[in-house]
Amino acid sequence: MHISEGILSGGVLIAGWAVTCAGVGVGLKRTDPAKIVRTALLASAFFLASLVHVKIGPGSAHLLLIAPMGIILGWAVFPAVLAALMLQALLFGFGGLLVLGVNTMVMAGSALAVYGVFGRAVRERGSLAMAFIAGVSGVMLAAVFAGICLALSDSGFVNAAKILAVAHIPVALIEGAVTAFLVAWLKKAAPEFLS
Amino acid sequence: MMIFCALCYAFAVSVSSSLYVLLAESILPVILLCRKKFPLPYILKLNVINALMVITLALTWPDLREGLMMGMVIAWRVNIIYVVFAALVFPLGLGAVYSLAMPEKFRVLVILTVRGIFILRDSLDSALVSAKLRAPDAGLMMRLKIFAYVLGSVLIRSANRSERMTQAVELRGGFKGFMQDRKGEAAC
Repeated sequence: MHISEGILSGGVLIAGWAVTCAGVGVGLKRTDPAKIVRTALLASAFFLASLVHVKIGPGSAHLLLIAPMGIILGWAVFPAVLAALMLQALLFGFGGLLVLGVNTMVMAGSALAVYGVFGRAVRERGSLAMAFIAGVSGVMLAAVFAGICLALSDSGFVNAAKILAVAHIPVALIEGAVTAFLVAWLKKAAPEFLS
Repeated sequence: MMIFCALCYAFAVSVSSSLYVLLAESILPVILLCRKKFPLPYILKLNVINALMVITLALTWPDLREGLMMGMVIAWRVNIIYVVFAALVFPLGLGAVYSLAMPEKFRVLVILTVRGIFILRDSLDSALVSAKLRAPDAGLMMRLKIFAYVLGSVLIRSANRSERMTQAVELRGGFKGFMQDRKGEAAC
């Protein structure tokens, strides 16, 4: 889902950084200083889990875990995603620094949207159907946001953006299943985690 | 300052569409390539991905030739930006985070996230190896279920561990003490 360096226009890059800075500001303000350690450790757990490749037929894919991050972290997802993507760029040389703003906006924005729409249903009722839909929606929203950023940079990217969205459908379905299984497990093993 | 300059340079490269301007902007990466050692396998891998991107753009752009040109310009930009970042920013590692003017809360979050990655990596790896040994021929749904359960247990373990870490940070004088420690100044 990472958008590479050199593709996006100046306006989109600046807008991405503006949205990310605003999101990180609100996220940090809403995060209780006593909860910073918890946020950081949960961010590292999600970061590590998203690096694990799941075999699908002859190939493999790594999950994005957008919906679980949004549902568990809430507004803190913005600083957590920015920290994770920044570390990916600085420690492993993977992903870009200039597009960090847009990539954070795409991932954290969709996680936050999932939190806003499905957060209450999943956290309070532990609804598995809602968790599945949340998982699917998280990936598809991120693909749509990335597509919008590409299309705003140049109208020629519209077809590539459509391919990007279609290519993410299998990942979205898998992510939906993982989110539903995760919610079911947390409901049984640690219900306080969802409350 | 170095990071800021690298970001400004990368921004200038990103918005350039003229081939002459891109040629002029390639001078700095060429000098950097001559002066520093770069991980060649990584650059090769980057250009394999670039080649795929060029093909995709050529096939999806309204005009094949225009799409091919656009793809090649983007690939060129990617190489320039990567070399500049690899030479000026990536060697700083986490030092880059400390040198940027960021809120203290965010710096603490980044430091603890790095620490968390090293703390949790082993437990996640061992849980996944154990699951693989117990169910080597599991179908896709079972593998996803196992992955979700492993993720759940790692999340709970990290939340429990965070409570102990928070208490340790508080005992050392809170986050103020935490940052003083990082700067090499004794917290107490």
